[in-house]
Amino acid sequence: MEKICCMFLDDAPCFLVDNMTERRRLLLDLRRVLLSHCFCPFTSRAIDRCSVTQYNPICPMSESGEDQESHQPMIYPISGQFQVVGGIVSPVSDGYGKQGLVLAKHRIAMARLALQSSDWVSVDDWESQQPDWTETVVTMRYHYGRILKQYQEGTGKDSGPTTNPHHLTSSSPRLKLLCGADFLDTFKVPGLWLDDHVEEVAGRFGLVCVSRGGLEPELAVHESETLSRHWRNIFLVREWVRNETSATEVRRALRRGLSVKYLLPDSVIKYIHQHNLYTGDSELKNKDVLLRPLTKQTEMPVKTLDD
Amino acid sequence: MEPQDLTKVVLLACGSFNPITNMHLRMFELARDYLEDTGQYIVVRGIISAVGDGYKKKGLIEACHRVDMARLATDTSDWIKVDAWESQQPEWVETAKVMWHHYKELMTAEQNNDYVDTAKKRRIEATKHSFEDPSSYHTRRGKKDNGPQLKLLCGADVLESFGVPNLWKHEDIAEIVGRYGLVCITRNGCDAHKFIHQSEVLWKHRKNIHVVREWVTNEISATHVRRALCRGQTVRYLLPDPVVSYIREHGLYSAESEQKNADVVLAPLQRHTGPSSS
Repeated sequence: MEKICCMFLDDAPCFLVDNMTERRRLLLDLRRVLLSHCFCPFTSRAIDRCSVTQYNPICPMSESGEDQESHQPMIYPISGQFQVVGGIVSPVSDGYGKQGLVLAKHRIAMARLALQSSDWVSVDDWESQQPDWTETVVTMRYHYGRILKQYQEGTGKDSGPTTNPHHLTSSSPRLKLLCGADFLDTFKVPGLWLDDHVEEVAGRFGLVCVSRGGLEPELAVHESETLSRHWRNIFLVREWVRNETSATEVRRALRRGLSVKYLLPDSVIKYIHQHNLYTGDSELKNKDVLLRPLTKQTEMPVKTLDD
Repeated sequence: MEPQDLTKVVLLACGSFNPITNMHLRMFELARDYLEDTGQYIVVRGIISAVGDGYKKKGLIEACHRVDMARLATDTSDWIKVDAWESQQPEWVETAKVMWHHYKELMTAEQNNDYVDTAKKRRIEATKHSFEDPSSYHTRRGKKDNGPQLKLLCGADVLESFGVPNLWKHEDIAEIVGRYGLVCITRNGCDAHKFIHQSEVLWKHRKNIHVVREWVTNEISATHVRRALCRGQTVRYLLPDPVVSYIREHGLYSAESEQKNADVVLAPLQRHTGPSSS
């Protein structure tokens, strides 16, 4: 297995949750994201110092791994800090209302097919089963609760009462949101995120963000007060092999009857053809519908952290 | 156009394939879609021809491994095949010669296949040609020679390598684009067209050069892959899974393998600049 293993500072294993809001990313981004995860320099071997200086020239990493003065996102921690023990793909529910979103049952099935051969990443359908779209942070809370419980049961350790979810012992697992650089930009979109939620995602959990093409994730972090404040919790990973297989392009190719072989796993391609997904019609779905986050945030009162 | 009116095409990709990646495989798919989309062609086969060890490129591992990996990678394809002829030659073989070898094989195969239908074919051909503009006759090589057209499939880097001094023989470039044809996959269509525009020989045969835009940026270069492997990083999802397993099982690609041929001059450069070159 080609996982890169490192020990977290205090030996805490950590899970990554990929809450790809672009649910139609037929695991192309999954691949990219997994790829980036595996390229993530959380490695017990030597870090590529060239990447560090090129990526963040303002903030050279000291031995302690942090620059207290400049609140730059922590790009590359010192080696041997993390052990990634699992990956979760959580497709959004149909309630999200994004244009061209095919039924969750299909997206889940395709994700499962694509991940059949992976021994550390799995698909979770909890979010897709919810009647309404669920906020990222709500999904993360759900998964984190589940992971903690599993961990406690597995190790037989009692890591403290779960009534205080903020107290993490040194050995309990961490949950981080895995995303692309374009995701960071969504924090800027008015009405899309609640401030408290951004605070919780970045502060309580943490982000692992993969650079994509020309986008500059450092800029997105810099431009956000909340993200900047939690720079210690934001890991920016540079994907050196440019591979911008976007779900949008794949859907376009499928509509036009062009080949997507070698962009998606064969099993997923077969599924798509069997169920005749991604046609001119499917792309029109939700065309005039407002994205659910935009309507939901204005309907309900702000959720507190005690939810 | 009726299916029998379509020009049959075989795509040949030459290269190190050190190792083969998903990008190489994508090139075939993109080229086929493009050509068939014109309504003039039908792509009947794709051939991967790995270069021999005599090429002496830095970091080039044994041909037998490169061929085996290519075979694993094309296992799930019903039209792309691996041909080991070039890889088995003791000395490096110029691309034009490799093309000629495959072209001859295709002609022979075609003649054997069509033996029974030759008479019928001649009747059909005769009827069609009487309505054709004579000047277009020369471009319909496929039908004229009773065999599919062989085209070189490559990336923009190969196209631009035509400009590297002593890497290609002038007459070889002329033969490749004149007699056969080129299908060039590129992210940047402008650069490719500009390059063609600035070269006399390429411009002359521009109708034979198909520039195919790759909308999905896919820069999985074998160099990057080797670098990742040397650093113990995963290349999962960049290469087909069976190839990833093969590399791991055989312990290919290390800092050591990267040093192979480090002080050796590339075979084409040696040949074209040495006293024995024509």
